[in-house]
Amino acid sequence: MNLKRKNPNPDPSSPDSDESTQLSSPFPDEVLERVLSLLNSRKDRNSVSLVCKDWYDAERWSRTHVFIGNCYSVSPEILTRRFPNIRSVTLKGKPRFSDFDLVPPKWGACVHSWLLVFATKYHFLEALRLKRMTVSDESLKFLALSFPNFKALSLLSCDGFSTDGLASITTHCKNLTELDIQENDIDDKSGKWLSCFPENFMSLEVLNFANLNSDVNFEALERLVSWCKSLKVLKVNENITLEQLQRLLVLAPHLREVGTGSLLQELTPRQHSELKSAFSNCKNLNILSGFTEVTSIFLPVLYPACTNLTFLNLSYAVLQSDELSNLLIHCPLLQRLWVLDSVEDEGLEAVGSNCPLLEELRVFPASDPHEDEIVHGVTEIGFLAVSYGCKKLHYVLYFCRRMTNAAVTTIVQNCPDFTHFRLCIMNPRQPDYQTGEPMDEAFGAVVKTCTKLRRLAVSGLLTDLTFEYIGKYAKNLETLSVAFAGSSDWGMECVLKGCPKLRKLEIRDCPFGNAALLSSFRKYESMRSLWMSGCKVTMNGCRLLAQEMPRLNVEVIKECGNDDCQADKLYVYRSVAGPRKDAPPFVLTL
Amino acid sequence: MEKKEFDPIKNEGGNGVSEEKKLELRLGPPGEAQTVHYVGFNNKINGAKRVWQETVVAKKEERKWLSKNAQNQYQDLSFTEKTVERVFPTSWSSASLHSSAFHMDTDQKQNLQPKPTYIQYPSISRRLSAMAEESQQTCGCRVAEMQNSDKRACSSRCASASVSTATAEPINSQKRIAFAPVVGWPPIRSFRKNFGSRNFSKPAPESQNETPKEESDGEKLINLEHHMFVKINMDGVPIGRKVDLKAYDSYEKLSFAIDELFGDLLAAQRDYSAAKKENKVGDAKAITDSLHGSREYTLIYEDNEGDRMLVGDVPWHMFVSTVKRLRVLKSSEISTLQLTTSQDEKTPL
Repeated sequence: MNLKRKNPNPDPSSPDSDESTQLSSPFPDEVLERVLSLLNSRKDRNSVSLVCKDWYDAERWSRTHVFIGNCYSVSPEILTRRFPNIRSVTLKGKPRFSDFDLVPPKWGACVHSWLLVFATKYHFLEALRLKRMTVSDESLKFLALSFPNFKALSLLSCDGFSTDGLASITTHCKNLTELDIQENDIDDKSGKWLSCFPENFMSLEVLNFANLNSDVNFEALERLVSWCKSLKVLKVNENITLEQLQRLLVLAPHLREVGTGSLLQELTPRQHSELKSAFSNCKNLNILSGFTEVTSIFLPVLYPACTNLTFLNLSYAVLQSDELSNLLIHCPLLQRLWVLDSVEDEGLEAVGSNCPLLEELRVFPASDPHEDEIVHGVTEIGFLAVSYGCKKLHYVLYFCRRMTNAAVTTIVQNCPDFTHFRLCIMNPRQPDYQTGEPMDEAFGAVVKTCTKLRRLAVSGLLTDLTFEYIGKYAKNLETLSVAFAGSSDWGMECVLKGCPKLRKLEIRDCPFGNAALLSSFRKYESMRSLWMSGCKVTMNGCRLLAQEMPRLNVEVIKECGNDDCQADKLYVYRSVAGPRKDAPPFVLTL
Repeated sequence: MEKKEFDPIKNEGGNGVSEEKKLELRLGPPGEAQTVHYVGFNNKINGAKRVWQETVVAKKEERKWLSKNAQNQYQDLSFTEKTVERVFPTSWSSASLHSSAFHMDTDQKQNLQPKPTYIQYPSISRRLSAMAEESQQTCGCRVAEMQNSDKRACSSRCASASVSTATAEPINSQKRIAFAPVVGWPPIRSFRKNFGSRNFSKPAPESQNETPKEESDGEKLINLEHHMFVKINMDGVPIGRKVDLKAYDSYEKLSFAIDELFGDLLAAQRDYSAAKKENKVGDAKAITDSLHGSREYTLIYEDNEGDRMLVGDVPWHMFVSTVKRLRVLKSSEISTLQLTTSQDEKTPL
């Protein structure tokens, strides 16, 4: 049921009188709305809304999905006033560095105030996707009870709730199609939530509880899977054994995406072959993940299932290079691969040899570099090997122990189409290990060669030169992450002056101070946010910025409070909602 | 890696860099400032002691050496006790290099005696991450104050208060390069940490095509995020138990827990056999009694390389990372083990 506009110009005495409006619009509003409703890209919609008032109105009435990258940039009241027909909301809360413990707990980004407004204004809300928000059990219960059409809930990297909240959702949401609970700081009390689905529940299409640790009732899960014929995505947790997984696969061979449980179970030969045949019967299988406690004996079970794999997520699997190599031989169509660096350079060489269609590679560290006894991992050799073999590579996230300028230069020459280049040399400020020089030329090569670059994360020993390069060449750059880099304010100034499309800038532990912060303060209004922690900005500098730019929220997170002049953690973002009303005591709005 | 990783003293990419390096906290034994391999005590900064260890040394001998030297170093490091306590809970390892740096007060000096067998190492990093958040500012400014060479305590924001610079290889060890703990670095979510159920040192199992004909020898650890259950069997008790090693942080606690585990079972057995055979009561009772305290039982374990080892030799942290299963043996049996090795080989521990 769409809320219909009753009258395009509710105020007849307004300057935009009926006649002039109708003369200026070439076709009826309904047609315009119908056409615009086909637009999905929010960038396109944003552009459309700027054309003229009619188009702005048509666009706002026809928009059904809204994405809010920073929950404090707008208020729920303003949102609901502009877009009356929203069915699906994506909300992102805390700054990204909160994933790495840089933001204290109870910082904010609570979803509850949004839900309260949505309950009245978006009664027919169907989907809610939250990232880095604080969600309480009370909120989940409120959500479950307030929206009769609610279908899809996705929680990524959120906190503040427990499995009791999930139980509210599974109990009350009769039309639930998607429940995706991933990497949250959740109080995992029990697996009872799964048993709360009603008896004849049939609508589930996506179920991801891979990151929950409590046992679920397997009979309940089995019943769920057998009843939900449209189930496409099933990612189970570690407590589901191989035998149980096999039974689930037999019930749902149409699955597109499977996340395994623990692979530690010792199988009899009969079980082994049953599992293998269950996997090979999954003809639609495109995505595999899970693989916790993987064993070599298990992997061959997967080989027949790998023919159509496009995304293989082995980032929780401690694999050796030969194991990966043997697996990849069977994955010719692979486009995305996530692995741990336990596969080492040899494993990555196998990637280069076997995956010509690869577009995205993420290599995570298997061991904690602070604690580990023996250091393994990947180096520039592995990355090079991948770049030679995978010409379509455009997204990389690479945690490595060492790197050289020459290697990176070659890599981007092999793969000039990078859109996302995130290189993390794990030891802060480490230079080119062969020449001892800073890694400036590496990132210089990246920005010069990869003209489509949208996201960049830099690491290693870097001087201001890196940032000169970035400012000069990275014309499409939208997100930049910097840590332990730069020599002076000049570096940051170059970036602020140079990158026209910059939206998110996050900096930690760099020698950038007030001069850099204030060099292009108008820039911040064209950006979503700026984060600076462990830098040299002072409270006075931040206050100055706040004074100059009243439409920015300039927030400083104060912790120990021992040094009042330093701005320990600075978070600056544009907002039409004004300063936060729910800021905790340690967040100072200047 | 032969080439030096990084020399913060010599490598001055710009004024900002060198200045910053001087202000950074580093920890290390004295007299190493000249060697580029070890970023340790920097003589150039008057009185500025580095408080953060940069590298972790592999071998026991080196650790002992470092610890010994560490004792003598930080006499005049003016660090507040309060900060010390916040960063390092005093209940924690006293022999570690980290804590020794902070133990300024004389009452705490006695803690500087290194324990004979081992030194605990950056296992503190986890706790540290939690605490470092809080103390980062304290550390930063305090150390900044200490820097004689630079009085700009405020503006020189030891941003990397808890951060070291690049790696430097420890003197004798080439393989082991660990970095000083930094909050939120490397930037991965906590879900992606805590692996370790498979050991790197062990080569991959022989054949991937082999169908699982028999039980694999020794159960692998189930390393769920907060648990680490290993099997434990006891002589004379047919039913084994499982114990969660992550629930304990010392051998004493583990030993006590094991006592409790098998105490019950043995009591049950005693009751059962008492019901069956009157004359056996005495023996069973003796077993139960001896478990708690006397030396009739010995705790051994099987490690990741398949060897049987006596529990207690290595640091708890290291034990936990290599143990695969436990066994409680009658002490009298140990001497006879060698004779029965050939038969024991095939029986699982």
